[in-house]
Amino acid sequence: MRAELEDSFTRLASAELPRLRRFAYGICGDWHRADDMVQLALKRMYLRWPRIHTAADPGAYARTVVARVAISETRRPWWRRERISDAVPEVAAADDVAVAVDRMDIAQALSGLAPKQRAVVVLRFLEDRSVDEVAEILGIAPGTVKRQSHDAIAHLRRRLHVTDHAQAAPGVSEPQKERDA
Amino acid sequence: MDDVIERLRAADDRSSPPHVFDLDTGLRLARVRARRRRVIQGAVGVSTVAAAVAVAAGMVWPDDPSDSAAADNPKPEQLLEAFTWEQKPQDELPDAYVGEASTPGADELVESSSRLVAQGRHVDYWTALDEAGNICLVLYMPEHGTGAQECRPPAAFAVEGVTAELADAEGDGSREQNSEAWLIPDGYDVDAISADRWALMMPNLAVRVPDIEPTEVLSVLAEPQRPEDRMPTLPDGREITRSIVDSTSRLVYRAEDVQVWAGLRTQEETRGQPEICVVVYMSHDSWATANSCATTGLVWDSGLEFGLEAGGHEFHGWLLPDGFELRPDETQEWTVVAPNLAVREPE
Repeated sequence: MRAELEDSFTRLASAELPRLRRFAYGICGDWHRADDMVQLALKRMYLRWPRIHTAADPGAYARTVVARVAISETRRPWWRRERISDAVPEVAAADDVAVAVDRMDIAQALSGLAPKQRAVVVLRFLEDRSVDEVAEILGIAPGTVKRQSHDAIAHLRRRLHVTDHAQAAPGVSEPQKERDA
Repeated sequence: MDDVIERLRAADDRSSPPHVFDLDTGLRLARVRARRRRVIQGAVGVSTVAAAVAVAAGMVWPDDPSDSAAADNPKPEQLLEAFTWEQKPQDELPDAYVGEASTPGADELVESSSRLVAQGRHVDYWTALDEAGNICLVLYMPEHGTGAQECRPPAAFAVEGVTAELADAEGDGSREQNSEAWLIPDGYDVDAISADRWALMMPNLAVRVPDIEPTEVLSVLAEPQRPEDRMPTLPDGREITRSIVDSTSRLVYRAEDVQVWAGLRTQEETRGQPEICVVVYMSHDSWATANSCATTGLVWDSGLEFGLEAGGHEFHGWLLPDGFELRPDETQEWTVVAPNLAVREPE
């Protein structure tokens, strides 16, 4: 690879690395596995760099690789990687719940979502990418992005105990309401 | 929604990796990979390189109709329906196969052509084209990180398919360490494949299975049949299934609302190889039943998973051959509830 291409790749990789690592971690919930995926993405991106270096958003390609690897692995029957605990306290003690939620990192917050939904949430709401951009990166239809976003946010609303006070009785969490129902 | 996103952003801010990413090493590995790729490509003949570039750049099948040699060859998509499927993420080859050939001297596989044709408990099976246009069978054992690939020109593949074998040199010949597979072209007489211990795993994939008796796989089948081993008639008076030889059914699990039997499939429904079946009967507010069968050798290799969903209830079971041990990762999801049965809680 020519020197200028090498330089441009190194600059891009350095700039993208922090966000790319967090994207991978958000999907898989394991920093070591996340870095494996980031390494793979950088390697594939390097091989294609002469062709993709002029793309408007080369980092999108790296995210495509990471998302594909993560989603692909979870579909395999032998894939039984340890899952992050989904154990937000079930008690309706609002203060305790708030403390627990306030200590979560992104992987813990997103646990319970499918890998593709996690990818959609991170790209759409944490990286502020448009629906079309997310669709392009994940290779899915824009309508699927919208639906996955809606479903994921609904799930997260319950999981993170973000209550709509106009509907919920004071001190009663959403899961508690569901159990009561 | 803003509240949710606000909390997500806060969680994202709290996410920091516990270690530093060694970008320099990462870049060095990428450069090494690129150099190895160039070396492999350089070793291929000039004419093949030209074809390879066309394949890699345009992701087209390497069979230009104007090429008289190619005219003798059927198109890959005519021989295997898998090549007509859109490539999905799970179809991508393991990293060990991307960008270089796993077998020294072999042609590189075309990434865009790979399709996952089957997944076993220990081995994943893909088909792909190599840059010379051959049809390949790729085996990969993720637990061991080992793989194998074999390729055949389309004309030869059309006649006999392609076989590949994956064996661990230090293995003991157990289920976990060996696999021999046969990628079969569309339209092949699958009735003929049962000879020589081949068993059809998927429509285009057969695996070599041990020559083993059903009673060696499930010793319960050798025990005398008890009254409770006989499957009852359904509430509407019909039989639960006619696929199982009556005298072979054995109750392997009974819970309040679920019963599971194992048995042998009636001979007229098999292709010359004995098949083990599992039957589940679920009775909640209403009743439902299902059965699933597989060649004895396949059950010995991987057991037999089955499931039933009806009336808002579901049951997922895994018939386990004698002496079958779940891996620690599998025990996280499956619970052994009887000597030959594990069940999975609904998600």
